[in-house]
Amino acid sequence: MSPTAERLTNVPRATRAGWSAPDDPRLALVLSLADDELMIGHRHSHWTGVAPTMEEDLAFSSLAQDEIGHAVMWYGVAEELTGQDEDTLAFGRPPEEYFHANLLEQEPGDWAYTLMRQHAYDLFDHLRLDALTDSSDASISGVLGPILREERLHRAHARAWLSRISDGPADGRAKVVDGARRVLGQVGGLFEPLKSEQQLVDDGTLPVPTPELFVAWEKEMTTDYERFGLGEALDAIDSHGGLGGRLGQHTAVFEPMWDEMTALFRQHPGATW
Amino acid sequence: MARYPVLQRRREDSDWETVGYVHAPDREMALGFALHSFFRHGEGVNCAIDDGGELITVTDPADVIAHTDKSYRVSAGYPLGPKRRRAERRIQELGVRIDNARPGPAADTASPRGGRRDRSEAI
Repeated sequence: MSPTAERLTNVPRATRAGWSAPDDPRLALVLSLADDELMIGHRHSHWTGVAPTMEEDLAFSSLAQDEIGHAVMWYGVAEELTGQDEDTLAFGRPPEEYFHANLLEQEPGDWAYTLMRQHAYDLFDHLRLDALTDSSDASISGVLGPILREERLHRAHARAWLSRISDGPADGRAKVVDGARRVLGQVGGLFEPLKSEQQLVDDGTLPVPTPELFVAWEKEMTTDYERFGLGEALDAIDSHGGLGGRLGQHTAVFEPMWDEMTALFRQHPGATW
Repeated sequence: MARYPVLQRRREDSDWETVGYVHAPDREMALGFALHSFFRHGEGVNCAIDDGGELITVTDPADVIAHTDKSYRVSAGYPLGPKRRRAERRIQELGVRIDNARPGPAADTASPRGGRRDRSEAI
């Protein structure tokens, strides 16, 4: 273990007093929305300073900030349900109480993997948020407008890149197909239902069960991939791949990510900045 | 990659003004980069790139507007006034005073921080 990793791991794991695992299904839903955005924003932020071009560096950093900004909005909704502040919700939970899809915690890998993950996730996120506009819970449906607006730009960003790569050299396209295959093997976790999802469906909080979004997502993915000449990667879609995250069961890469992401919060419990 | 000037209109009735440049393989990517690099924090109401004298504007000006709170991206998002007032209230509560001069050329060099300090009372 590197000295940095060891230092981060040695930070006390105690979280701020008062936090307990959510029994309220609505809270689990809001936290899963927030955690998805926080994790993908964190992983996107890796590219700040090392993206393929300066302009893309700025653009992708902007996307990363957007996603973390959306996480803040969802943690704000969770704050109303728990009384816990956004920082405690974002950084004060143990790893097993995060409900993001496991695809989003994976290391950034190369640019092709990052781009294909951004494309797959933002398409899923758009469908999920669009379905939530009919939610019976006004605190959820009320924050969707601005988020949906920004997510539209994110999809445009991914499609602009895919369109150029599809017309570019075969080497670049091969890398993107490889990146896509690695992403598609884990997408099942995006559509994994929460522990008490049926209750949310029954009371109208969740107008469309999460697994049912898969059909629409696969259709749009197929359209995009075939349009951009990436259809050969579609057979890698695994609706059972990457499961566990919605139940707090994460892959081995999450613990070191969590250690680093929450270290400062844990080093200074109760601090205000 | 080609270099595209980026322009903005601050208000509906403003003229276009150049705000910078982006490098991109084509005009569509240039417009996307321009949006992410120069806008979306409420800088203006419309943006465009100049492609060899042809002004290419965004299809939907609503994309230029900041839809979510972006105050964390700019210095104005971190107001110091409330923090200073909290500190002043705390100083009053503690019954102490700051008598240490700000560091600077005019400060007394006798103190390591550039000012005299009464350790019994100062914080």
